[in-house]
Amino acid sequence: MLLGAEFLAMLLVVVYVGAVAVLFLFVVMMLDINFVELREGFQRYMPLGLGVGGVLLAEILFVFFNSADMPERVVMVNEVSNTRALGRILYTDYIYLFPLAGLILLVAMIGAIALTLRKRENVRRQSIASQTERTRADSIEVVTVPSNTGVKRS
Amino acid sequence: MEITLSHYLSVSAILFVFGVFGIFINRKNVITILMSIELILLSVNINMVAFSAFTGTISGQIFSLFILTVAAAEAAIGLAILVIYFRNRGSIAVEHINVMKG
Repeated sequence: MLLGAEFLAMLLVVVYVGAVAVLFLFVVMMLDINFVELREGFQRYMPLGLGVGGVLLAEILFVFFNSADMPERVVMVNEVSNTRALGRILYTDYIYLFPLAGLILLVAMIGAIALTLRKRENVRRQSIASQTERTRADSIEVVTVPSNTGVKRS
Repeated sequence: MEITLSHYLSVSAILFVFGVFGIFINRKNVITILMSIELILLSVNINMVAFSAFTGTISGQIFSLFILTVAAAEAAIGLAILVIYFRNRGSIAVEHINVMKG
């Protein structure tokens, strides 16, 4: 936001709050997980994790503060808004990547649905084909009933 | 005080280290591992946007957009796999995930 990337900032908020956080909440809610059991190995791996994390952080910060010339902020000429500039590049230079991103999302959606879909036994479902296939001939029957006799069920 | 590129990169590095740290201390909880991966991707996003703004090119923001797409797709697929794994095993411990067959 401070950097002038308004579109991306808003997009990040929308995607992470609206999709990812809700997805995670939903899964946590749906699976009742015993979190006490999961914490068992916590103490064991703590020193290793701390060590790796500390070393990594130290290295990265060391590199940052010792690197000689960070580029100065280039003041962009704002003749168009950030969203418009993004769109101009996205739909021209990256025109092949943009549908590809859509395809990735589609594959992810289909994959998630296909993975979690399950066929249940012993569930009576509405079968639309068999309902519409019914004809008058095989569903009703006209019988003439003689007096004083009932109708035998065939 | 002026915010320079180093500050943005430091925030990003700290986020990245939190992500790696989260993966390392959690050998059992898959949800936490997925969240850590999201955190790592987010730190890469911050890097991209920072460099894009400081060098005056907008391509970094485009890349950030695509990273965001991939992160969302990855979260969806990961959680779907998690759901079917839980349905089969009754727990989400990853320690014994190597006994899965087929």
